[in-house]
Amino acid sequence: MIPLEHILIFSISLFVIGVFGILVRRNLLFILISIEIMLNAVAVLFVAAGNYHNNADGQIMYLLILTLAASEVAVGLGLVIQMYRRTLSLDVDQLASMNEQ
Amino acid sequence: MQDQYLSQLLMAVVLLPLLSATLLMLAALFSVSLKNVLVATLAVGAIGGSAICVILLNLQLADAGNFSFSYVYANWLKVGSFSAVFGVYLDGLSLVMISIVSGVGFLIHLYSVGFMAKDQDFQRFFIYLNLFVAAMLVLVLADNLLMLFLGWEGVGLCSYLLIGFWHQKHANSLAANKAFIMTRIGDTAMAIGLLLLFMLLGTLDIQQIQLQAEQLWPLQSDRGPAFDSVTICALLLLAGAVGKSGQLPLQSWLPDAMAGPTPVSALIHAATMVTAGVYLVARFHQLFSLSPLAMQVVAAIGAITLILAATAALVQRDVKRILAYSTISQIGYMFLALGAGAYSAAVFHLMTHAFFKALLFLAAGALIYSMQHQHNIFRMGGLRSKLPFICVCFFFGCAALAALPLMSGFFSKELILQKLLDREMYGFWLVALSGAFITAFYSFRLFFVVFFGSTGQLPDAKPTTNMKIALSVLVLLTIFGGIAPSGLSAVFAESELASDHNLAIILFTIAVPLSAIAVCWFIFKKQLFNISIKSDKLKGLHNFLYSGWGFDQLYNALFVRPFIKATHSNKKDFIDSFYTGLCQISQLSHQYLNKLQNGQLRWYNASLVLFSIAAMTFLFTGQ
Repeated sequence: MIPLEHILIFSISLFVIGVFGILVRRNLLFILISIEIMLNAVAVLFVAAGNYHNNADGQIMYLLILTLAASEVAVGLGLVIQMYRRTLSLDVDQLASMNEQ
Repeated sequence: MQDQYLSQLLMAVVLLPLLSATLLMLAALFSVSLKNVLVATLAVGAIGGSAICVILLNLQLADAGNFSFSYVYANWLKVGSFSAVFGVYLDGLSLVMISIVSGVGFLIHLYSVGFMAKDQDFQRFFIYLNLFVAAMLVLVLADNLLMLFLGWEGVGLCSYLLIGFWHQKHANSLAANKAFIMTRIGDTAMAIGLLLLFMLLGTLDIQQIQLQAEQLWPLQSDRGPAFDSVTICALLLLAGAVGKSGQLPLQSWLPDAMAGPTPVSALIHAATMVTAGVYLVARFHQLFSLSPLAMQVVAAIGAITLILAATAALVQRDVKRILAYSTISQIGYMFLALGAGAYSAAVFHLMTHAFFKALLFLAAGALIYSMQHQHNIFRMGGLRSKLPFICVCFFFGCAALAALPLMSGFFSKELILQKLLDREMYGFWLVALSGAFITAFYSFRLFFVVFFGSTGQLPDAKPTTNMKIALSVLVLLTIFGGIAPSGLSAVFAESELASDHNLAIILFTIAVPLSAIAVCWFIFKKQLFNISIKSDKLKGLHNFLYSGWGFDQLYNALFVRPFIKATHSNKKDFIDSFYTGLCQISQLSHQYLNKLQNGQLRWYNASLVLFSIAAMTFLFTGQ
């Protein structure tokens, strides 16, 4: 049995890695992956917490997050492809040009 | 039956000029171009019609000794218990006034047709002139304070419009502004006085007011001059009269008002409007009689003004400015007479002054017209053979102004001097007599310099027939107009005591102007009038007199310059600074907030993360 603290630390570090990825990466694809990492960090936390409380709700929540992530990725990847078609790059900073009329 | 006839006549008197002004104005508004002949016929015809109505009125009332009628034509305002009406009040005083206004007004209209013939704004001129006559008639016929004020402001407006008639020249509009603002100072005081009267006595009707004033504030002869409410009301009214009539301390606008066309100077700034102040005091004579202090102030203002303006007229070079100062001085005589309680003498002098001053101004206009708009009398000279008709007009005008025997001005001025003696006001009598000396001196200085001596500039035009007709009638009026109107003494309830005066004194007063003319002729022969002054002291005195005792400089230093300085320092308008500040704040915040909206996805993310961390820290540590 892995102690809860370890899982918490693991989950938080995974989440922070995801946040960090979002903040420093300019490539849209990596940002999307970072979001997935953050989602998985949360999902791990749900499963661990459900296990801790002897409750199956956490695992059900994980299934929910899984479907959510799948649909999100579908939309996100669609947007990524659109962006690549328009700008021929995946650099999000280039999207800032939308600010300038 | 007779009442109805009179009321219809009175209505026609006022409405005819108003109607003509309205018609001409509408024509101008819809840019219907009218021929000058048509405009002149309409404008002069309207005033002529109203003059005929006045003559009919005079005929109707010739044998009625003491009469006073008041008619109400329509309601003006009715709010609760307060009501104001369009009503007229006709007695001896207002009959004299409407006779002067419509009669002299008609002659001046007739004259203007010739004088203004070449002006582009012929129609505009006659609109203003008709409007002026209508407003003046409203003023003198008003039976309540509101109507009086309507007419009062109406003539003020027309005076402003006509002084600035040639507004293309900047100096003219400045003169118009000056006249308007200075009379406005008096008018404000007068409006306060009228409101005060209404508040204290609760009625707008002028006759009612005076009856109630006599009951409310009976004259207590033992108390002497006191500063009570009737004095305050009288002094406030006097301030309005002083402003309108160009008396001390509001006199300095009148010489500048000569910027207007000469017929305007004759009609408004000599014969009618400027005497409205005299009319006002005479109209409220019962009120003024209740306050000895106010009467003394009236007399003192008149005396000081008459000397001030007469001495200023001594050194002027512009023919119209000489006449303007002489107008101020003659109105000073009227105020002196009013202050002495000789109301009918004052109104009599008002009438004769209207005749001879209109004559003088119109003759001066004809002179200027013939001399290529030359105003300086020292550029003229020896014109008596070139312009004999104008010379004759000037002679009779100057003679009446100087009060030579048998001229109209003689009878009225003599009456004023006599009344001053009757009331044992010897100081004022002396002032008036020395004023008469100076008056005779400056009027014949003008006459001699222009018409005698060496020939200067030559005339190049002759006055038109219209001008000649008007001038001839005025000459007749000037010579034979010295018959005191019969209705006046009844209005003012004065005792008709035949004054028993020392013949020597009367002869002395007759001799004064004659000696002045002799001195004047002597100085003229020595050619001392236009020499350049060497001594500094004399030069200082000359400049002092020339500027009308330096009132313009005084007012500039006291009021105009501080005001301009104050407005200059507040050029940015400090009340506005609140709103400009608001505007600046929102612009600044826009600038800075706009930087946050930079479109950088990672910036947005970072701020989201930072905010979440901050919020969570706050939540966890807060518990």
